[in-house]
Amino acid sequence: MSDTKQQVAFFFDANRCTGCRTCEVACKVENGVELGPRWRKVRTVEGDQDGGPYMYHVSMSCNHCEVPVCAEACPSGAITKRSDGIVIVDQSKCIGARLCAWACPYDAPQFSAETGKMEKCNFCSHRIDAGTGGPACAEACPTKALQWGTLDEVAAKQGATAEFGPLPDADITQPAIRFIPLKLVRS
Amino acid sequence: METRDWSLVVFTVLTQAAVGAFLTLQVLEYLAARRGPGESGRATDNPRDSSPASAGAQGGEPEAGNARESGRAMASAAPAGRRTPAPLLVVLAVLSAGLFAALFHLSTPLQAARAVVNFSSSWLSREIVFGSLFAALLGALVAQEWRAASSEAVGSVQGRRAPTPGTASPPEGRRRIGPEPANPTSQAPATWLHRLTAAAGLAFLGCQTAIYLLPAQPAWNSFATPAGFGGTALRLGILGVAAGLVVRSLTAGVDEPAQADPIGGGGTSAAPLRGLALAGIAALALEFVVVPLHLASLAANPLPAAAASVERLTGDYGGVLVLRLGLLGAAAAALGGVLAISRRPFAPARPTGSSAQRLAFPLTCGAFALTAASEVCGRFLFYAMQVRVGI
Repeated sequence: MSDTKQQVAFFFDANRCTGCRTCEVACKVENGVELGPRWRKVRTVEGDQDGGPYMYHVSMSCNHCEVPVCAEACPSGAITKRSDGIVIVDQSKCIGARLCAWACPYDAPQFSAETGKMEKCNFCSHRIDAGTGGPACAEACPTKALQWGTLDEVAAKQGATAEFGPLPDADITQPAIRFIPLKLVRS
Repeated sequence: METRDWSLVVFTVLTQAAVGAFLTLQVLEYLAARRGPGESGRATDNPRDSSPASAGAQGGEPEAGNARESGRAMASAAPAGRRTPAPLLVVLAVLSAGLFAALFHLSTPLQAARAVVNFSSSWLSREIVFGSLFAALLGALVAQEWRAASSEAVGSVQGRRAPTPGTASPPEGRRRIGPEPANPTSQAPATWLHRLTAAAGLAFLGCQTAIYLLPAQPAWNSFATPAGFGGTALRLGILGVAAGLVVRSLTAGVDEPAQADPIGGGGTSAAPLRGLALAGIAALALEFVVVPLHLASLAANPLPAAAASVERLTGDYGGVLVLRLGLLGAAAAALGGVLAISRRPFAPARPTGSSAQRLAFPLTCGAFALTAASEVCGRFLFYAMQVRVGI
């Protein structure tokens, strides 16, 4: 990623994710996230369509939305959006009102019982700022189901969509993530 | 619902009750002022009182004059015209207790002052600013009432020491029940400070409501949130004032029997209490419209989170919902009793109060207590039914 002034974004391909949770572990290790809060979560979606069952996994964290409702709701101004689009929490300003957790449709802000503050994915901004790489979760994904880039880059991938079945309407916050939905194959 | 959300139950119910009570007092004050001094007609046996108000009283219209007097009594908290900051002080205490309870929702209460930093976009910041402003203005009003009451008391003592030539003293055992001689400062029905305080209270209530209109929370992002919060303010405000009025009528009755019945203003009418009871029943009935409509709108919502909220309301917490509505129904029945006993003017008050007056106490205060319990249940349900959209 050469231009850090462009909105950064995640990319997720539901057809590639095996649910191994390597992304979750990489996030925990890289950011030293204690037991309890989960900055990234892998969830499993099950259903039935045209008489056939299906199941797939979704890896989600903060989507660093273009309209960060968490930052709008936060009364103490602890949540801000950087010029490269990364939404960060300044824990020294957080008062633990948890309004961000109510406002976020993606359950991204997590409460830390240890610090009494909110915390969430910071897109591994320390790595980006140091030029040592991107988000640890995406770089650790063994199947490349989870990737990262600028919003323009990930949106240009073939078949990428902003809306994704089980997720809230993208118009609410305009999340900086694009998806390749599961392609159901009938036997 | 998380344990810490109970602080929000206490915070929202108490502060909404405070806003509702203040607005109810202002409406009563306004209604009292509209009748004007010329219509002030409650019968007075105080021949000293040669004010235009009492002059009008002699000419009839006891009902209107009584309503005016009782309205002012409630608004200024004084039975039969004597001003006291007591009711506004109670409202301020309730508001302060609510604001204090909100601190327990924060993980770091010592940093609570930071909650106003994001005023430009956060409804919670705006809520705290307007809540604090409401409390400060209310405090100023209490101070103003206090000064007015003090000056009236001094004037009253001086008046007794030097009766107006040509007037007689009141009969033995009876005290004046008409208004005190007009005091333009203390009897101003609605000053700019009252209006500003009312506006701050409404803004506070509006901001408190807007916090919960979140697209991520279908159960909250609904007409039911403003209807519920506004309904709580109406119900607890109206019934709180009515209960305060009845309590005051009994406590004032021992040493001032003629003033013991501010409901009827010395035993001529029960119109103000009747009006409050009617308004209270209407406010209670509002919830019986809001709850089914809210459930229907959630059931019609295609989002799974909305369906999950309905399941919580009717399943896990169905008993609490039934209890809430049952308590409201019981409160409405008690208010129906108040209407029944106030159908005709109360009998002249005795030192222990008239029978209707004595019955008004358990009915009115019972209705208030039942409603308060119901509002706590309702607010518990409000937080418990929260289900976020998405996975």
